Amino acid sequence: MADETLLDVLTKRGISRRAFLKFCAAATSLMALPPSMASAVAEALMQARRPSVIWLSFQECTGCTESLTRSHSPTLESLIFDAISLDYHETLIAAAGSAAEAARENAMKEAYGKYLLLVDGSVSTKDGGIYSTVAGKTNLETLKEAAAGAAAIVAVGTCSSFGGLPHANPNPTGAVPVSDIIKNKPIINVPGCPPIPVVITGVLTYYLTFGTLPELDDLGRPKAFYGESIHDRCYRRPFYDQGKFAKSFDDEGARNGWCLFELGCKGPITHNACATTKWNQGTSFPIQSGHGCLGCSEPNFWDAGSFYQALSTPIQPVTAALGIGVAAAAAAGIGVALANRSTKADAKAHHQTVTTNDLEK
Amino acid sequence: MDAMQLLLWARGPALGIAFAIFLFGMLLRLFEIYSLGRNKDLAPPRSHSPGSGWRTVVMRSFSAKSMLKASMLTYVTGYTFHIGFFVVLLFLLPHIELIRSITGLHWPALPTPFIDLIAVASIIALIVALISRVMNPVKRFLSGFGDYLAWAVTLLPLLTGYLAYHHLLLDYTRMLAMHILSVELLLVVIPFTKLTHMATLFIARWYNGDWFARKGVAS
Amino acid sequence: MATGEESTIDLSRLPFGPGDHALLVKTLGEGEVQAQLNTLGATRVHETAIAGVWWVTHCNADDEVMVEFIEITRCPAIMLTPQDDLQEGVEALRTRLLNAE
Repeated sequence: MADETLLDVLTKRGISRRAFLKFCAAATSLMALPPSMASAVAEALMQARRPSVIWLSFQECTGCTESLTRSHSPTLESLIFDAISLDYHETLIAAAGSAAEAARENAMKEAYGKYLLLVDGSVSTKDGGIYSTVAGKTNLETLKEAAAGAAAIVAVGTCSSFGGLPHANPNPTGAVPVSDIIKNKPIINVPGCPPIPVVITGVLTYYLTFGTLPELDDLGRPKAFYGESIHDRCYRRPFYDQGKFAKSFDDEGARNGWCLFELGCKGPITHNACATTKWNQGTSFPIQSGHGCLGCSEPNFWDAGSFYQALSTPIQPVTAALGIGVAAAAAAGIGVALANRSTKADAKAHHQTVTTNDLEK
Repeated sequence: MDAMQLLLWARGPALGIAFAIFLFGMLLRLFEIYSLGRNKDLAPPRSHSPGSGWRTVVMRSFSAKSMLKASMLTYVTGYTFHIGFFVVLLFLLPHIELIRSITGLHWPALPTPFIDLIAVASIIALIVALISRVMNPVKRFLSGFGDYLAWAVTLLPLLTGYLAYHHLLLDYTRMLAMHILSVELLLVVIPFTKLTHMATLFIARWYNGDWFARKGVAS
Repeated sequence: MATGEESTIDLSRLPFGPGDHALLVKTLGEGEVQAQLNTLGATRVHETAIAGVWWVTHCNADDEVMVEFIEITRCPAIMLTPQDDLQEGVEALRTRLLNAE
């Protein structure tokens, strides 16, 4: 299974050289690399070995797995997934129960130190992590075990990258991202709620092709896909720059494609590939459909204020603080006023009248 | 702290704290001024001119011709900066949204490129004012730490706002956080510096106008 | 032109607004050459109305677009017969001729 090269796999499927070039061109684009790198990609793919891949799902909604299985260009993805050895996927696996567990343990043992670990969902840590268990074992334990033998970890989705929805206020299960638990292995964060399917595949393809991690930003996200903000590549940007904003959904401005800042778009602070790569085979993305960006690939986006209030508004109401300020001022003010009055009264009381007679002496 | 955490703190608890301190400081100042009261005027008023105080509040915004000639630069930079600052604050859409979310009030915004121009003019006015202050020996002699602090905390929101809008210097998330934090800094510094003039100037003008009217020089 | 430098633009990396893609197709137009590759699904190649500017659309087996390129070249590389295939071609021809008799 493992240890064949990618080219061996493709040749077995009767793929011609032209087809291989086509595959490499598509793969290069998928990885958000410039087209001039296609030949380098071809070189690398010819030598690449098939790694074993284990996918673990923790506190998640399965949206990330759904996203991946919906990726477009199935021919490309199916080739990639034929190429990798998806030895264990909690949701996709056909076996169940102890047979499934055995499959996982086997896979981990066989490829110890070399397999790629994919994780979706956040990890519960409160009370030892008992709020999320599989086969009687806490996710926390399973993660630590699986991570020990992994060559690298890919945290798929915002939950495993940053904590996601379970991590939002008040975080009853003590949910944390993978990077909070595992500190001694390289981790690639592929956030998004869910991530764009081809982004997931692109990152995997990169690892398959080059055997290394792509360049990551300071939040551990591949710069190729998360290097720019939605705002930077948004086709409605000229309207933002001119100050033309839609005031409500489907109003005149909205129908003319004006900027959705007033309707809560978080595009300026969100890094993702939605504006260029888009969703559903490049069909569209939220802003193009008239809805502001939720900021789903950023940490704490669930706690970052309403999705429908502009980016310039406060996250929490300030009325309480204003009230406290006024009340404290009233109290202090009265205190100061009284103090001043007593000083004035004192001064008056101790006032000594002086006449010129006194001074002449 | 990463950029996002900083931004969420700036848009969250920091705003409450800044507003609270600002209100506390300003109201305290006003309490102090009003509680001290005024000296009783035992003399009968020379002229009967009610409302002189209020008229002075407005009329003092227009300078005497000779004053204007004598300190043209001060007047021009002063007016440019002050008018510009308020236009940027009150007519840029994101700011209107902020005010709407706190008070419920809103009004039409001006086109963003226009506001951008005004912001640049305000920044230039501030810089020219500083240069004038430093180069003039008398002004320099009279200037203390409070003056330079007030200048800096006033410049920062304008500058960071401009940088954020144009996506310069830092990654946008961090730049936006800096902008909001600079405003919060301004808010907490105002009550403890000469920037209290934003409220006290009206009190002072009224008092002077009223007093002068009693002395025979009504407005 | 002097250096013979070729260039490729990946269209999937560009932020198209609605209607932009159609506008680009219309602006570039169609030239004399149309070709189709049939491997891993269809790949359609055509030279646009501007000589030297080719449009390459790679589709998968379900005829969905995987990736599109605009190539500035005398002929897109994918059209050319791969070097290694040439030798195999000679062998294949020999076999066919033998069988034909």
